[in-house]
Amino acid sequence: MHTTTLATAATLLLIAACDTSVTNPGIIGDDALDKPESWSAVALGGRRALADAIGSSGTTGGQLLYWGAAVSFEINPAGSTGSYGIPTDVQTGLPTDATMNADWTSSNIARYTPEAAVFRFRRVMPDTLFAKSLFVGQAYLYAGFANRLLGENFCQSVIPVEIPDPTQYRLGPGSLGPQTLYFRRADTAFTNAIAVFIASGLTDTGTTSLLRAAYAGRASVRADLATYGLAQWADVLTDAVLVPNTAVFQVPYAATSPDQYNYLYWARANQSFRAHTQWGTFYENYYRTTRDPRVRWDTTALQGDAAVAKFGGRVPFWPEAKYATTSTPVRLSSGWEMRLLEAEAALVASDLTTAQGKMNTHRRALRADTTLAKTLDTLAVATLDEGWTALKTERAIELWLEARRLGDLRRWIDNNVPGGYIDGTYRGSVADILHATPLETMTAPTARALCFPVGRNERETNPNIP
Amino acid sequence: MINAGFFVQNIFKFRDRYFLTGGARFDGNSAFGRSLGLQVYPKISGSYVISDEPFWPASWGEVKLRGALGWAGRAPGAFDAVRSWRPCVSAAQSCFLPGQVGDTLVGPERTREAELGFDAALVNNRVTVEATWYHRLTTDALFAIRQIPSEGWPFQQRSNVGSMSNTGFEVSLDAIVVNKPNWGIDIGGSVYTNHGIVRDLGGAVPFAAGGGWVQVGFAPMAARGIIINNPNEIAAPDTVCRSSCTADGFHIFGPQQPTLVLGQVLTVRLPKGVTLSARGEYQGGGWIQDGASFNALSRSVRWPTCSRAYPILYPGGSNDSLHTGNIPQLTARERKECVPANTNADTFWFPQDFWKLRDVTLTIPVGWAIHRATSATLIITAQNYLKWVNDQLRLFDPEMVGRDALDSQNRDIAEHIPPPAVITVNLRVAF
Repeated sequence: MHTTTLATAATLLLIAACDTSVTNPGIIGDDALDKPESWSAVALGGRRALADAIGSSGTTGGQLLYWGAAVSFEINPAGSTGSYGIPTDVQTGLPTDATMNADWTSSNIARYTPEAAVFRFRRVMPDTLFAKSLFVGQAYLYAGFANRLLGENFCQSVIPVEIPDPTQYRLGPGSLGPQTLYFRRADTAFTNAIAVFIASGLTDTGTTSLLRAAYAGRASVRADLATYGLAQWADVLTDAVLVPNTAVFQVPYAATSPDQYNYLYWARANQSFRAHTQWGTFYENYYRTTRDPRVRWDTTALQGDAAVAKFGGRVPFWPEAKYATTSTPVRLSSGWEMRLLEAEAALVASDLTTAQGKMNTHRRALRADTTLAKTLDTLAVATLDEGWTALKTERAIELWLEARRLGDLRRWIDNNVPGGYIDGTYRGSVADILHATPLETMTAPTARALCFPVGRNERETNPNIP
Repeated sequence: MINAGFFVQNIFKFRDRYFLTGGARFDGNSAFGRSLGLQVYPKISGSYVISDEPFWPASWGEVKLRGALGWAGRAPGAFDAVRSWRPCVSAAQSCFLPGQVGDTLVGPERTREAELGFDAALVNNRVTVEATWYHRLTTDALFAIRQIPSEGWPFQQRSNVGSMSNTGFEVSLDAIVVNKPNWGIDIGGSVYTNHGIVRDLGGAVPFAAGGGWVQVGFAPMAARGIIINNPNEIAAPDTVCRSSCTADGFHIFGPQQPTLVLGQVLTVRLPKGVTLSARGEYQGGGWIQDGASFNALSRSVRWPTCSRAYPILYPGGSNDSLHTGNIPQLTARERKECVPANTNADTFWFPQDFWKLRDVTLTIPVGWAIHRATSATLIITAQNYLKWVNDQLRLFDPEMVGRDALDSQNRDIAEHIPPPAVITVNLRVAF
């Protein structure tokens, strides 16, 4: 009896000693992000939003890389048109504004998130810290890449109007404008990022990588602008030369949860989607004959996951292999791209020799790699027209499946840049042979879109957009 | 979150036939935006038992007239006023993404409701009637508003937008048609109507909210899409909106909620306490989006509604390529639905009018068959065994909707299991 009483008392004491209160963590209010311990996460929001816009399965994820690849023939459809598939309007090369809703939204989140972070940092950081904080620099950097993504992929811009409010980043409805506004905005953001990274005084590997990414990003948008006559190629070269060949800056994905998967990979991961293929693309034959590792694809004995109407049935499933896992990152900038920008600037200046040399820089490096099954030939161009064709092809290969091709095609076609294009379908049907020249191109038999329309959701909500 | 309030009410009675009720509710809520303070919702109602008047012949039965006028409120969500961020992960590092933009001025939605009606028990209580006419006017209506994507906030924000009204009447009638000692027949019916209209958006442009469209002059959460004016003609689709149009050329079909609901009940009382009853319901006037058919067709799934079109489009069978030259042999609707490149969710709106035999129930007292039982009843119920669906909605049960969708302001047919046909046998025994 005595023992029982003691045990009961001890149990009651233990229960009484426990803190059973539960605090609901609640929502993350705006004020909570002002605290220094949140700043890293605030800055990295821009990176995550950019990954979502390029292509992840996040709640507000878009598929710009995927749709752009399908429209510009970097991939061919292999079946599905619904979840993880390629919608029929994208397959025909003319995406509707309704299809682009999620992509428009996610791209704008990618732009807004780092720009709001910069506003916040300016408000809550001491001026001396703001000028050299890596958080600020990263926010500027991702704002630059997000604006570039919008400018290279969407037909028009909508820049919201900032409403003065010292306590909060508030925006009002913007109006339609040219896509080059995004490039100018990106230029400014990259310029600010460069200033901050330099002011930080840091020279470690991480900071150097960020700084080179900012130079490379600025060089790329200045090239976009220069093609439209809105910037100088000399300024492109000034930045490009600061980025060494092997410099690479990427946006990460992760295997930890599906919302962070690389979307393009998952759409062809055969779990269960086999929605795109290299069968019938330019890259089918190019990779088979050169084994250029930049456009690697795999042969399988499988077929795509459904019949493809335009090919009259099911097609071989030969998926790209650039993205081989759910966590494979997508490249945002690189030294190799800079060499091609230098080549392009040389072509603009009619300097064919320099252009050829720059175009062959990466090819020579790949030739030196003895682990490759085949060696790549270097390019030899005799005329400016050949030079431009080679440059356009080399950029297609170098920037393959990086959400860049539509932007290139648009700026060249809009400005009647000389040279030919490899982009197209090289097989007409399931039983067709592989043709040497494309049966369907960006302009024939029907013109395909060179950019995406502003999402219908913008038109339905923004009183300034008709 | 803090939600507090108090309520006062008093009932005045005069000569046991005149009743007047007055009251008021005072609400405070931390979800309200700045400077809203306490909200007051008064109400007044009265009833008059006219059949108690000396001039009322007793043979006319009992009749009560009633009327009411009152205000009610609906608070916004707990965090609707707050700007918030979503936690996220980027390469194993924490990050934040925009969540809800927050509306610092959000307040309660106010509804004024007036109703008039009567309750009657006639013919020695063999006929009972309840009738009510109502009118609701909602101001500062709370809608989940889609945000402008270019402003960077992805999720809908609940805000007060304009006003809308609902008008309708509700009538129910029950009658004992035959009332013999050993058997009888009871019938009943009900009519509910509901006509909603958006009256004012406070200057805001029409907008999509949830799964519906909000535009002045039309039902709240209306069905908006592309009309096919000549669906059954062998011709190119005529999709020009000529009436009830949005500014961008879409057609507003009508409300997504039914505007007319008719109920029917029949009960046959048989000897030895056996009863057989049946209950039917018609719903009409609403529109529904067949999302399941759109999803399937947009994924190139071979679909029953295109069974006539497929042999024309693919004469060589399912592996044949699309013969675009044969498209002119299709009807306008087939061209929009069965040619994959044309499939568009906006054309999949249909009237949702239907009638269903909700249930048939046979009740048999079986106490005599169970030893020592005080009572026992065997109840056999058959549900959803008979239905009629309008012929425009060709494939699915209009109640094949997502969870909770029947109670929401918009419905759509999704890839869900339709209400099953069920037979239930229930034996209740008391000892």
